Amino acid sequence: MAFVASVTLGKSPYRESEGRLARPMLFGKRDTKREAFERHAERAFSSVFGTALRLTRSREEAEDLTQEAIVRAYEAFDRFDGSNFKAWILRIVTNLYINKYRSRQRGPQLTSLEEDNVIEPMSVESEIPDRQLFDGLVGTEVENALRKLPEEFRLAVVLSDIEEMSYQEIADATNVPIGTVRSRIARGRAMLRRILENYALKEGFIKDGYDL
Amino acid sequence: MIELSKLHAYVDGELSDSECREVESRLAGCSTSRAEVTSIIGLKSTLKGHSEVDCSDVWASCKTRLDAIDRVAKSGNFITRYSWGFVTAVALIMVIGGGYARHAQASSVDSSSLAGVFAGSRSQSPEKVSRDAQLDKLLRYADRNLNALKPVSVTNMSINGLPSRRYDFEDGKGRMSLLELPRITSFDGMAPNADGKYFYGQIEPGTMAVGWRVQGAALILVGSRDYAELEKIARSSFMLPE
Repeated sequence: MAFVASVTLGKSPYRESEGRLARPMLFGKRDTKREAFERHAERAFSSVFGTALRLTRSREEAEDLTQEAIVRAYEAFDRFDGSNFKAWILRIVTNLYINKYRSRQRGPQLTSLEEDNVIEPMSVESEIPDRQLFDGLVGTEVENALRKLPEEFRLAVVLSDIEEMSYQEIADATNVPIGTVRSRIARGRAMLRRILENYALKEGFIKDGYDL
Repeated sequence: MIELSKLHAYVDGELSDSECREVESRLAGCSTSRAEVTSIIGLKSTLKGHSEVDCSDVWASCKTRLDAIDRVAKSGNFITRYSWGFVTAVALIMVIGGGYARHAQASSVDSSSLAGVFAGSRSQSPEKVSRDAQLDKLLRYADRNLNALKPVSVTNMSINGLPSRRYDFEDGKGRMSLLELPRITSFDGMAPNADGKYFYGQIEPGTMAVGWRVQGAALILVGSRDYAELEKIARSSFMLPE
């Protein structure tokens, strides 16, 4: 009958918290695993969500992916070797995305570009000087350009240039050889620069015929 | 011009000391390669400089999920302490007991009568049907549902003399139950959510119930999850409230 006695009939978590749902009751103090995990996870969280957002290109799906990755990481936290939490959890994010979310995506994803290993230079033949191009961009334009990159290049560039992961960490996270990572980063950046340049010219914030 | 992937690796600090020295030596005599290096650095800097995302609300949601995991772990394995489906049935009687009793023309349900239901239910041997066709009908799988629900069993049972049905299923995080109660139109002891379509009730610490009305019946989803997650599963996997 202990169970019967513990039931809290008639309580309104909605009313009690004046418009916000009450936080479910916890059993005592959090244990050290939870505290340690939160310490690591909070520091890496913007990377986790940012990567999820740039992979899924949908805030709703990014939230789902992030929550699932956090839960999985928490459940597997005992197996974390203590070295690099961000790389470890981003590997979870990436693998979750590849195994579960990728099929739902629309737009540029996997491409056959991998077979064409020619790497284009970024600066040669560009119509706009780097400083003029990069200084004129705002965050939305950069994010929109990233969204247009095929998935494997987008992932490599995001992990390298935004998350500052090493080639080896990216190779581990994406399950490809390190040489492929190197190639994807170089080619992804070249593609990204072209997308940004085309965008700048199209939108007119950089005019043709500037003084080189 | 220096091999392009090597220039990218140089900027990224991925070359050995000897490779770095070689690249730097060749850069001195190649303006095209120097321009490429400048361009790579500029792009990297631009990406990093625009990388902030607003995610404080998502972190809060994640912590709520972690709370739920902790609660389940710390409840001493609730499901093994009690027969899960059995507890669900009893708990739901408690949550909506008043409403159910009114519609069944019975006296109000108090804790002593609940104890009787509890004891009586325990002796029942409900009919269990694996992958029941009605379960297939009831479960409306949604494409975006993350936690694909795996049906476990259907149990036909009687609560206060009225037929009801309990669907047990699970996702990657464990078991849940859905109780289908015909002729129920109100949820006593449960609080409405913001839009008034779903009703929340706490069965015991860590075990929550979310109810809603569908086609003249009450559906109540019970699990060791928080309200938001249960409502999300309810919205994405089952018929929407009327």
